[in-house]
Amino acid sequence: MKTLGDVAVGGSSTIIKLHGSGALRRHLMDMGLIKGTPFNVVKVAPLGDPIEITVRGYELSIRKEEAAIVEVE
Amino acid sequence: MAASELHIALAGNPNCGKTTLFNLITGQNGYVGNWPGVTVEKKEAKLSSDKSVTVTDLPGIYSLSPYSPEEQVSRDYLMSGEPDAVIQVVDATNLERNLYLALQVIETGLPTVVALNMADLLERNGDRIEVEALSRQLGCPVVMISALKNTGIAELFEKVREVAAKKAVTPEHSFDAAIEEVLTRLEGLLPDNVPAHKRRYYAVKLFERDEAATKLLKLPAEQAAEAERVIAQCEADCDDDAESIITSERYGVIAHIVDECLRRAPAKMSTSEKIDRVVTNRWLGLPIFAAIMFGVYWLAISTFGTAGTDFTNDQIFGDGWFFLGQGREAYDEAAGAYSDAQTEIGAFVAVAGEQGIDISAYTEAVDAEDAEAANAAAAAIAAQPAAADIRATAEFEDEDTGEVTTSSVDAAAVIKDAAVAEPDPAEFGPWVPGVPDVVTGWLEAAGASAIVIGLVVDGVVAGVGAVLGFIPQMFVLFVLLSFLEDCGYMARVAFVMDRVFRRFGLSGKSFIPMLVSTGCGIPGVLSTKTIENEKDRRMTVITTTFIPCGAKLPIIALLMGALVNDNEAAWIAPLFYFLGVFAVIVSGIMLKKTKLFAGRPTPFVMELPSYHMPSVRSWALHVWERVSSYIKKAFTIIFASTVVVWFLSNFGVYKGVFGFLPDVTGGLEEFTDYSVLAMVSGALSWIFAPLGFESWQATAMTVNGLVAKENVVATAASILHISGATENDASLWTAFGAMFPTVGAVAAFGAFNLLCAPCFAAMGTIRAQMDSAKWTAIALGYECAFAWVVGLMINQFYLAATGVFSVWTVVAAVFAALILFQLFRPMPKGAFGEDEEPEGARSAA
Amino acid sequence: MNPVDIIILALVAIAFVAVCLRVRRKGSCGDCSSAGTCSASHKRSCPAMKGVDQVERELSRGVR
Repeated sequence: MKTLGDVAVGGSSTIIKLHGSGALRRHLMDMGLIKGTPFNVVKVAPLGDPIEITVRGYELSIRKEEAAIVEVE
Repeated sequence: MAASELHIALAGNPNCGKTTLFNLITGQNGYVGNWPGVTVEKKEAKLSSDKSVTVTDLPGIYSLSPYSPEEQVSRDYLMSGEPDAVIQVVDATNLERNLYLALQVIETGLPTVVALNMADLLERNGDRIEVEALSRQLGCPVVMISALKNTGIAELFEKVREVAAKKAVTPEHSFDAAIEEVLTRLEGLLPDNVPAHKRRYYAVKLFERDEAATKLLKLPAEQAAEAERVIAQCEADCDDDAESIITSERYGVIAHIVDECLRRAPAKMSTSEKIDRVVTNRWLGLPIFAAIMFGVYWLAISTFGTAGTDFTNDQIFGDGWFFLGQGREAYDEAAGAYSDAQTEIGAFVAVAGEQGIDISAYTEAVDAEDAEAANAAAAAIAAQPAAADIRATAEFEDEDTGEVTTSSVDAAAVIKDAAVAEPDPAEFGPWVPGVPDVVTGWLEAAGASAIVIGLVVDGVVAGVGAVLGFIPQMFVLFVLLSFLEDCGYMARVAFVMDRVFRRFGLSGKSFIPMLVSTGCGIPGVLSTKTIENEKDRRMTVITTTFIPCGAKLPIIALLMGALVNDNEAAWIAPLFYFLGVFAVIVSGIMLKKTKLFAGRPTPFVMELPSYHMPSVRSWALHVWERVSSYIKKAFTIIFASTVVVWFLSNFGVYKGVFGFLPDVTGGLEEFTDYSVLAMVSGALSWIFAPLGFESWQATAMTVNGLVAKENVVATAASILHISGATENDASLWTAFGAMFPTVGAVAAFGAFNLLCAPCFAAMGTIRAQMDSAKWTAIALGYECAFAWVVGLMINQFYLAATGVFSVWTVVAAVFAALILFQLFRPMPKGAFGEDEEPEGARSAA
Repeated sequence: MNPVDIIILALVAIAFVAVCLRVRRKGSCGDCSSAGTCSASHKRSCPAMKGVDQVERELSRGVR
């Protein structure tokens, strides 16, 4: 399974599915990360965490462990 | 409770301008507490324009899901029946995500008005939102406002009153037909006592399996089972879970709305953007900023400004000056010849005295400051036969090069020298005497006694004059800073800073108050209001006064004069500005890693204003306002302070007698050492001993600096004048430098005074802004402690470099190690944790 | 003490008291009436801050 964290800096992809359950999953969905949403990976912080993506016209910074539940194309 | 009383809830995403709007409409007169049972801040206040309206500021949230306490209190409050209407603040520049919460709020069935904030920003890009279409799509009124510029507020409340009268609104927006059908079936299962406008909200919550919301319904087992069956069927049909289905539906509705209502302008690249490509470049941005600020301080303090300040300090408030410089050259030559002649006479008389010739007439005349009598006496000595064989060696030091030349002096030369009269500047051109001389002349003519002349000349004229003397430098600095601000460059700096420092957890937003603080720290502290995240705001309040404000400029100028007597090391002055920037950044990074301030950086989006040439009028006005406020301060608070300083340093106890010290001590040269000021400051000076400036004078300057930072210079000038230190050497700088043992101590003194707690006025502002005695104490305590440690390190490392070690060297090294450790240790785990306004996802806790 | 001494001392004393009263009433920072504890609402009337206020608006425009 390819997750959001696997997308290289500068790359873009589309979300297939959010795994897991509960608060984190719901929060990511509320932020607009849902099935079929395209996004770009803008930059990665020095130690590879967090990742910054643009999605739905805004910038979202997301940690690796959080990105791991987001399956992408 | 009056029947007309209205309760309004303010809802919105974090950073949508909600707090700014709340502060604007309530004037911040409200009550701050916690929502029952949770540590989420609840802010409530009466509308300042209408006391019968109560506004409740809900926490900044992204959704009405049941997972975080902020979201729970928000929806509990919305469903409690207390609010009569909701103002949903929507950030127009981030319409999609903001509408997500707006849809949910509208879904609660409460009368809602959407306040479209920051639409002006969006429109500056050429994008446009069609308000009427948006209003139609959402099924509620939409009003364009700007909380920052205070526009559209009246219309907003007009609409709020209109909708509040309706009491309830049944939501209109609709999802995909299949989902709508399921929701209709679920609505049918709801108990009859659920009112019509709330049925959709509960149906959606039932569908989402949101137990926190639906347990209130007390759904009978039969209906619950039926609902579960309907939901499961739908989930199977859509091949997704219910939560995802609803989220997708909401974003689907939003995508449709945005399509209908948002008109995007085609992207284009303007000249502004081309400049910005370089100026805000990831790698070049900071060096360019550093170079520009270096240039500003270098020009203001080391070049143009200095020329002006040298004139005001050494001539207007010094000995005097030639109108338009006429006659200056001839006078300087004559004065030089006179001074050389005096040097030769001094050397000759000294040798004569050693050889047993009676020189008492000469020394008496010199002590009595009677130049003519001294010359006559010297000529008489030289004329004695015993002096004929004397050969003395006079040494001349070249002021510019420091080179020492010697010449042999015999009796004949001295007789010639004694004929050289002291040149009177008035004979060489239109001479204007210095202010102290003029004032002394008047007072003496009026028959005033020494004590009054001392108070006026050494106290008031010296102190206030020293501050006024820096006006040329202030003027140049403000001319340059105002230009940078007006043309739009300064806004870029915050943007550049944000990019670089967000990785350390610092937000670029924290740098805006910093830029304002280069003028005055008070508006700097006030402008932290734009920071919504409380931890970031507090941290910024603490660090923002590290930036040298206008009043600290004279300190920098004085230090520079003391550190470098010639202009060769002009780069010193900008360094003190960078010391301030460095203090902000280092403190920010260190504090961010402590429990008090941990948290994700506030997301920061800034639309950069396009560059433009500021109009001369507004530019001039800008400069004048700052300079006039500086002058006003000199004549008020600085004046009062110098009067106090003069009395404190002229009265004291000498050999058990209290009185006016020049009288009591019988003309002792160091009489100020016995003054009340020396006693009080001396009692505190142990604090600064490790920093290298334990003299009572330096302590007095530092303490007076807390009243107003200009006082550091005013007090220095006053003390030096009173003790007569500036009489022999006209330069304030040199006399000031002589009060410190080493260059390191001068730098440490400067660092401490620039970084420690600001002036009283700024402290008051910090108190008001923090709104907490504890946080004010933390802020001032941290500033002073940090300033002390920096001063300690500068002085001790300087001493260590010159080979002097003590126990304090070790202490300084330990502090340096601690600072480096705190700076470079990784961000502690959980520092980006469960704080109130995470931009990214919260951890699943 | 000459009469002129008394006059000058009196002038200084009056000026000193006037400054103290002014600071007590208006604060030591500039000229606002809230003694250094000014809030945004007083900003408009504060000449010391009018210039910087403009800057702050300029800078914080478009910031969130």
